[in-house]
Amino acid sequence: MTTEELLALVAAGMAHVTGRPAPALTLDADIGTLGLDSLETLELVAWAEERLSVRVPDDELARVTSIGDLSTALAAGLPASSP
Amino acid sequence: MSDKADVAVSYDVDNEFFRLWLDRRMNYTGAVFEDTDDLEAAQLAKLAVLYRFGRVAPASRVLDIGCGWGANLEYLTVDRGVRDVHGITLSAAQYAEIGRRRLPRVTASCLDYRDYTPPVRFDTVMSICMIEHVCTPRQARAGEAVARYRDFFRRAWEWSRPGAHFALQCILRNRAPRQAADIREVGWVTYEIFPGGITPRMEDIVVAVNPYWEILEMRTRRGDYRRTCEHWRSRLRGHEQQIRERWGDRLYVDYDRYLTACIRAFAMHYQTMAQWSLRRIDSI
Repeated sequence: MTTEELLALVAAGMAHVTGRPAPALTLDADIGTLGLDSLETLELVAWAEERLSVRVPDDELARVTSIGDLSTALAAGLPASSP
Repeated sequence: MSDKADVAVSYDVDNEFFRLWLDRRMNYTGAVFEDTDDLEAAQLAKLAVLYRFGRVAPASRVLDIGCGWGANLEYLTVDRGVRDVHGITLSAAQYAEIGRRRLPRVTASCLDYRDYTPPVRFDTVMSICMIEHVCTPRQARAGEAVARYRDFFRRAWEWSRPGAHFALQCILRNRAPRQAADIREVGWVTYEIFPGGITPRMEDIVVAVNPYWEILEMRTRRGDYRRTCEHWRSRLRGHEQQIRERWGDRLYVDYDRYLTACIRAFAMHYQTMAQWSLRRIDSI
């Protein structure tokens, strides 16, 4: 999955959780500044995990503060791409 | 750190309300159910574990940070004959109850522990489910948790004499919930019942005790805290009519919901309870 595809997925998840269209996302965007509190962030993670069939380790969740952190954590659970 | 207003939400509802469903001495923390299903006995067993973890003796001077309504203060002086015990709480209602009990050889301060200046250095420091108030959810998200816990352990180090011990009990958060209903309930408890507080992760404590305290023993008691909450909820429900009549439906419904959420949180491994025996590292 490309970075752009991951960002699109995260944006869709934000819209699902907040009920509002997500703004344009960049990797360095702070999740709190985007308007998600810690509970909504957890709901977003759970939504994305279900769609990607991955699970982010709970200790890593505590360190997710940016869209880039989230994308990296989700991508780490995905199968490696074939060369 | 939870501020005085946060603490008031959690503990200043009305002492008579809490007295209805906590044990006789009002321990508002997890009990230890070994060889008993009686809440009173289990709370004494919890305090006995912490007495041992803190290497307390009758000649000890003990500081209890976050002493609640004084259950441990009473246990140490009345049951164990400890000569000098000082408790700190930020709750006005809890402080009033400690005064009401007129416990021998007990003094107390109603203040933020960060504003405390001890007149003596203590042989043992104890803290039972208070560290959950040291960091707020916002501070945790900002990455400040370990630094704040370390500051807490530094102060305990400064307030204790060489060779001292620290008996710590706390709830630890573990798995994060993934079901939306569970996420909402955990959040509701965090923001409505315990605003300004967040439970630490185990690794946060392991890192933050350094360079001040050596971990001698640590054990978790997830099932024991679940059983404690089940006892509390059963007692709460046994006083439903009285609670609704005296304090209103909202209080009863909220506390039944909160205790139900806690029981599930322990059952689902969202949180556990840990007891730690720490020894002061004198040369740092």
